[in-house]
Amino acid sequence: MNRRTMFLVVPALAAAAGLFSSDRAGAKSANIFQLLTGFSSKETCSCAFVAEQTDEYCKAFGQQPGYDVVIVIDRTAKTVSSSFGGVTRTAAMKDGEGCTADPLR
Amino acid sequence: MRSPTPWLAGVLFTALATLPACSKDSAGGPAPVVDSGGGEGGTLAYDFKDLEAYLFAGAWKTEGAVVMRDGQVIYEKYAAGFDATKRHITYSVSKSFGSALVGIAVADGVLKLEDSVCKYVPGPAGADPTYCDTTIEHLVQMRSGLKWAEEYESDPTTSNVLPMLYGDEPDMGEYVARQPRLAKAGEKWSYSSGDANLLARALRSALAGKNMRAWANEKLFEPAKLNSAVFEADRSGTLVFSSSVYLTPRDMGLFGQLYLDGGVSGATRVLGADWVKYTATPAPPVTQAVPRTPGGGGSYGAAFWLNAASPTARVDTFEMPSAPADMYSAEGHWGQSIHIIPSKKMIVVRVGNDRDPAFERDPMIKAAIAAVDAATAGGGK
Repeated sequence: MNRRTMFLVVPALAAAAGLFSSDRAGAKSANIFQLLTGFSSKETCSCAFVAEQTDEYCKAFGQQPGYDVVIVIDRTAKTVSSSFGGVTRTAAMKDGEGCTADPLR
Repeated sequence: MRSPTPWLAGVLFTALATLPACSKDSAGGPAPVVDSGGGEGGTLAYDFKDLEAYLFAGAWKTEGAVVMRDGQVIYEKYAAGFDATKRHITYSVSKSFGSALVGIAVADGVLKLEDSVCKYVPGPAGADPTYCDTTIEHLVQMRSGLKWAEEYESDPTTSNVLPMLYGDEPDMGEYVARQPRLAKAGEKWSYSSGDANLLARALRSALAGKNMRAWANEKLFEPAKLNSAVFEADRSGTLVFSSSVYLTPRDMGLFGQLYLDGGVSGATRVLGADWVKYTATPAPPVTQAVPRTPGGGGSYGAAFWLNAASPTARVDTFEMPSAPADMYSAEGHWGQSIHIIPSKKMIVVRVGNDRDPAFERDPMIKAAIAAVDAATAGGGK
């Protein structure tokens, strides 16, 4: 199995099992769905409210091909929620400070 | 280039882009080019058509570019949807901003390069017994020796960057401090977004209760007139040095100009001249030039990439062979960069969203320099 093939298969299997523990040093584990939605919510939030790009652009930016993350941008509340695999992560914008992902629930 | 692209969450997920039916990439094809009114550079006539063709007509997605010479913008272009007023993500370019903040803190006596990281971030439970051997200088030069998985393509399941940035770490620096030791502190250079965020955490502690963002604004962004800058923090209030400063391409150019001008912005000294020099000095483990290989070459200073390991290094050891030996750069994922070229008095800034293929920077630098050289060939200023 070459590196790229392994790259495709390993996370997919791990994700399917929901068991991808990403931390080898004693921290709380985050599975790949949590990482995926964490990435999506935070980066989409920054795209929309810090870089001030359009919803269309930012949803593409915070999406990852191969997954179909549901991304909701709330322009009034200045939040972004990203959902996939039963996991929802939210990031919120504060003026002058940018976006931060909320803790896992 | 060699694994600079630091955090690469995108690489992890983007590799799955080989599943075409699920692609969400909406761009498709070269973006239209919008002239944002750049070009205020004196009386010289610059011809940037080759640069522009390279930047905007290729397979990659350039979203903005700025070229400065002698402190003036001589070229500026944006893709549709982007302009001179919009901030852009910088990803690992942020590390170089973190370096500047550390330089200011050192000059102000807030911390010392030779201090143990333990003075500011005591080893948390589970830290390696030799954790305290790591110094502030080791962190700013990426030689902490702490084990860190910055590579994603080979095995994303071992990545440290993804859980640090997108897991549930309220204090990213503490996450890094828990990592085991791979090499003796200071002896091995290894690119690490973890080192950058542990450095940020140490600086926040050294500030002894001051708001780190307010301090950064007061000490760097305001005096350097980088008015668009927004530096995001983790949930503990530590600026995310690894990857989270946003600003306009013009302000990125101004940041580069600050270094060209020896640390001075207008009449205000922001960085010490000694810190600027230190920034472009190779870290001890990477002072030996090695023949350039695909993705290799160059050296590394204080959170900046150096084009050459020494002023007399051979071109075949450069990171970018078309650029002068004295060029140093801040570089970030998906094609963000600020290139500082002292011998040409030039700054080159490029921002983009290059998922596949990756942007090659050397031809950009070559075209930008060629345009300036052609315009100044007659002795123009």
